[in-house]
Amino acid sequence: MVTVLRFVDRIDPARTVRMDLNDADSGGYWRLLASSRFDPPKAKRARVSTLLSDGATYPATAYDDRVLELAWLVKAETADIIAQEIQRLARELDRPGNIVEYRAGDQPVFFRTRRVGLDTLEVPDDNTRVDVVVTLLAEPFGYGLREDIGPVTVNNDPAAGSNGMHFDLSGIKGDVETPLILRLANSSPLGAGSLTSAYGVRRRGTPANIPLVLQCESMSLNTDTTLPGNDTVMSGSGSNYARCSFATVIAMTSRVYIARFPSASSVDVRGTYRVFLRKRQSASDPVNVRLGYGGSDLGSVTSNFFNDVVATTGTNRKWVDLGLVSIPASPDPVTDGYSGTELAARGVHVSVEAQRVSGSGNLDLDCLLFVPADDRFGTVKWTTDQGGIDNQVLDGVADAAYALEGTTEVRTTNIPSTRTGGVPFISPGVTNRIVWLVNAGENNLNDDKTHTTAVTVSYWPRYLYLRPVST
Amino acid sequence: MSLPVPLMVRLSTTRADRHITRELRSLSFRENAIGGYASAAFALDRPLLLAPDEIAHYARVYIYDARNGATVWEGRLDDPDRGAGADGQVWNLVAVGPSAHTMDRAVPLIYVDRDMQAFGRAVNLTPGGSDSITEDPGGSGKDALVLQFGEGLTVAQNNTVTMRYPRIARAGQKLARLDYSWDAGGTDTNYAIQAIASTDGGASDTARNQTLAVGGGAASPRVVVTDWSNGRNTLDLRLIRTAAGSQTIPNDGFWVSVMDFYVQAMRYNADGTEKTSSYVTTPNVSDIVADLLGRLLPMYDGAGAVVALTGSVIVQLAYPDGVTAAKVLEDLVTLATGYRWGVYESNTAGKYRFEWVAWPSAVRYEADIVDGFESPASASELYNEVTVRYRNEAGEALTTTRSQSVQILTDGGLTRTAIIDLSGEVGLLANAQLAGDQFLLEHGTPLNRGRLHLARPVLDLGTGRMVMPWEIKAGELIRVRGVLPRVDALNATSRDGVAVFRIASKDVNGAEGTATLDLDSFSGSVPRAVVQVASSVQRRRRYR
Repeated sequence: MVTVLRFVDRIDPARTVRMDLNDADSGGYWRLLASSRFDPPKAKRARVSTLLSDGATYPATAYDDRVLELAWLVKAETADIIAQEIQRLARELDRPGNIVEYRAGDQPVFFRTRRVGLDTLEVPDDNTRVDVVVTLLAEPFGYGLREDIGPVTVNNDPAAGSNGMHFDLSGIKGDVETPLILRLANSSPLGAGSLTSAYGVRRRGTPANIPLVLQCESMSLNTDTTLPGNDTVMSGSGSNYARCSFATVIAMTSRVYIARFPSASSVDVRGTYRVFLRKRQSASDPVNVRLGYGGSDLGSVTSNFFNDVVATTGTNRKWVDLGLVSIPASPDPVTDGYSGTELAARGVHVSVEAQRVSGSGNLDLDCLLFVPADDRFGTVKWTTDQGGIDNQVLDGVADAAYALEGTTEVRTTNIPSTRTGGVPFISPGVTNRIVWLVNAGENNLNDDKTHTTAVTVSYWPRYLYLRPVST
Repeated sequence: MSLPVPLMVRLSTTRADRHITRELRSLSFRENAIGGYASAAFALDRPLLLAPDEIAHYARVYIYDARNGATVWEGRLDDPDRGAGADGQVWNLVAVGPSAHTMDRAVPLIYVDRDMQAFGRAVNLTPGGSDSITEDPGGSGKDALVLQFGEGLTVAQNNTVTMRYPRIARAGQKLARLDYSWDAGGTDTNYAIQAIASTDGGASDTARNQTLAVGGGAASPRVVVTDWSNGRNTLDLRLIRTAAGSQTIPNDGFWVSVMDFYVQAMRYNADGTEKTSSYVTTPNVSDIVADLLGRLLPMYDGAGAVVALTGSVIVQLAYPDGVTAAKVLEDLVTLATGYRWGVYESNTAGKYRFEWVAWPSAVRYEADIVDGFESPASASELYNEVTVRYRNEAGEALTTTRSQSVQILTDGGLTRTAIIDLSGEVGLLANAQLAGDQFLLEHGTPLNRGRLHLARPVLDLGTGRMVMPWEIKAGELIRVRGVLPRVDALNATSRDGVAVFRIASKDVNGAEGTATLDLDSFSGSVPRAVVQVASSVQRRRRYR
């Protein structure tokens, strides 16, 4: 099969060819020579080395730009045609950015190129053939055609039977990680405005085994804390929340705890998590809460580590960010010596402490959500201009969040969406779990477990070389 | 770690909010133990023909850890430098941390003032009366403000010798508390010693009123709300004839001496509300910190600030010529060297987190020297004596010397004496002794002035996590393996100059994901030496 090499206007099934760079066999002028190279990108590293230890340390690694060394023989009947073809190439190369489609098998891969010039131009005496060499710089990875998944329905109920506060993506194509574009339908709760969402990504092991939800009613009860029964707005079934009355102690002290969470040890437990508490108060008085954690299997003893105190108020149901916890929370070898065999991680003691600063009222504790925060975690504060917005987008490619009219028109909003942290990435060859907390509590909107978010996921597979048929 | 450095950079102005990570040529940022986030520098390629909406003076700069969303540095753009050259069109951006806001405003500020030199004659309707600052004629030996109707002077009802303290009014502040003791040359119920609190010399309240008695009067504090209305800003101390008729003063005994004087101005709470009650004899250092937050630092989250209660009390702290919050904090750290302050990330309201906390007493990080370590441990900062220069209530320049035992110097048979100048703003003997003792504490073990280079995760004993070099907090204690292992290092509660160090600052190379820590104090370098020399020649202002 003839190698396809051509400039196109977009990475899309409906792309238009701007210039074919290997069309000699179909009556054109360009013949790609065998000396051309499509080397994969080189990895560049920060290297630290001293004589204090053997070997070197590489704090960071990233791929460098790809270098395509292209050689052609351009043959035509007249020198004018030669000149015209060379001019066409020069114009394409001179563009600030371009897209080159390359296909040696059944599937194309696209390279996003930089502006370059012609390297060499050898013209024989008769001016009807020219040897052209160009060193074309491109982004490190080749791109496949866009892949769309969904819409996926994410339930805002931590106890939902499926997709409760998360969704999984598997069968991802490509060779390396790639950023996600998440398009969310602008319906409740997004459409209510002034909403902050949080997300975290886990891309290793078996995500189903990661600690995700810890229902407070399943924890041991401590000072002034009881199980009132069932409340349909709380997650879970049966007696589905714990209530702290502050009847005897209003100072900061443990209200619920669990000796070990999660109960099952595994390599997938290992990680850092940002913990959110779903809570409600019966009065709008200020309450301080704090996450404690520590040695595995600790009973009701005081936790070993404490995160910062978080002040909260209001009677709405809301998620409160209690900070980070690592499992294990101790020196961790990760693997068994040099073997590469990963050691299982045992759960940690977890407690929720609370203090009523003033006033009266109860504090209801629904559940704790453990959002992975050792890979990609971020928050998005969506625009408050809600009129006419059809979709809100978290765009990992553009590193931005914005609003759409329909699915393709970018809307200007008076107050733009802003975000913190990293954009979500997914990887091939693994199950990617995206934990999604649509209402992360930075507003006065009552969190509703019946809400759902329809998420359409898009990504471009990224390749180091070519795209195999299967991926 | 063999992945791209997971740091993200965001710029935000009123016109644009953009993440610019992928466009950066370089990234570095610094955090100091005292002050918090200090500076950041990064370069990116943008055309010079356009003014990008996200690049502007005072644009907010955020640096996040992409793995967990934490803010690792935050500040404001200070210097959007543009240039064009062989590398193309490049914006070299420098940002400063939120601690820079402590230098936003310079205002006269009075906290507690015992300086009798501040008084001046007022309501001078009896010019024959006299005033002086001299030794108490009553024989106590104390410095006193002496008011007198001299022999032969004819004095009518309401004739006074009035001395006015104007500093609080001139500073735009209000009276909160005052006190003094007094003595007199004789007993005469026709005459009184009074403290008058007024608003700019107008409407007034009599805060204290006692007829002359040979036994004098003990200290008896007066406070706002109870003894005068909120809003009074001027204090008059006066000797007054209250009786009707007139008298020709028969002898030299018609005097009153005011001693042990002090006045406090009203302070703010950290949340910006006025503190109208609970003033005690001497404020704590933490009271001053709270006032700064409420008065001069609206950019900080005063209500949510952590201000540790400090035991150090302030007997003299007054800046009638003007001062910045930065300077006041510097003086407070001098008086309470067991504490530090820092400003960090902002909250959802855009206000920065502030903390005034004790230096930690537990080792937080454990690291190794394999990525590089330097430890000069110079003895040049070791002292077993310090002389502190200060001014007393009468404005006299005095010194006091404090000492401590330093084994290294004792073994060397050496006495090394440093000198500190407290000037008049922070003077008085008690403050001088406190500052001297705090200085000696800090200079009893060799300051490391070394550096530790980190290119790999280190153990954070405070959270149980392995943290990346950019997550390390300046101000914490770090135990370094590979340096003279000792059992004591495992129980250290402070720096030991050998294996346990205080992280004075952290410099992060964001492009490589590495960090360099200055240990115990800023590492010696030519630029820093120049700054130190330059700052040492600046003299404090003297005032009367």
